[in-house]
Amino acid sequence: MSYEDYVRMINKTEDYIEANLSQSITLEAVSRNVYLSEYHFHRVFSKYSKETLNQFITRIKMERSAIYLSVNNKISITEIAHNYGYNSSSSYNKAFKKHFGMNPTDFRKRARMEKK
Amino acid sequence: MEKPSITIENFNTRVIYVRFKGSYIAFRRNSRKMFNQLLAFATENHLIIPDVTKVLTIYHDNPFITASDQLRTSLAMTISDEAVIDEIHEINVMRISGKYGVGHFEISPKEYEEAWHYMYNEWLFKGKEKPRDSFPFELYVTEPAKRMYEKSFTDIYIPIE
Repeated sequence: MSYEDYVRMINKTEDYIEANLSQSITLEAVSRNVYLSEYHFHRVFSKYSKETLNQFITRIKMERSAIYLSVNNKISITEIAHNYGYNSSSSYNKAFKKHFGMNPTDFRKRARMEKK
Repeated sequence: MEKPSITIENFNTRVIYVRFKGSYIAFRRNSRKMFNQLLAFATENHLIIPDVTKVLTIYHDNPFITASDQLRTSLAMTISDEAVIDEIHEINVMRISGKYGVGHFEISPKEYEEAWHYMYNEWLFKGKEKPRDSFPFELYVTEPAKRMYEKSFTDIYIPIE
């Protein structure tokens, strides 16, 4: 598989993740989405990406959720956690803090300050 | 910049796209090459419908949240629902659908930032519409101006519920 094929595969995987943010996304699902076996998908992904597939999925979810909680002040953190496929707000908070170094509530407050 | 008129629209269109990963400055440097890639593919596959086909720039990430080397920006071209596409090279197909607040601007290249600022800070955050969890985009109604002082018509689409 060429680098161009890999780019196309990654684009389709990103589109898939963005269309299924509330789901728990598996290697099986992303492989099926691009018509590759799990083995082949994993091999190609590892060859070109600096991230593992799980890191890649988590990063997209974290960054997308951060955008949304910044622009929508009314949605609760619990609802965001659910919308992004987390079982509880505490597991979402933990993943968010690991990625951004602060919890979602503080991140939202900071974003609000920056908007003023 | 003149205050835009804003309409609420339901958008549901397939597009072909080329996606760039990197800073917005690097994207701008590459956008002509990406446009030529799309145009060549669209021409070869008879996808262009005069006066109907439009070009879009999709902003998947936020530069205040995503590292600049990971920012994803797609240059896209609308295609008909019936078009049969064999995705090759770096060309992909996707569907954009949903409700949007659309700002209709007549702006020069240096006014884009101000236009985006207006749509979020003045219209969305101070208005009654609720944001929807999807990506915003620019749709070029007329060809974007090549010189900094020239103006063209551009619509900015903000996803809303």
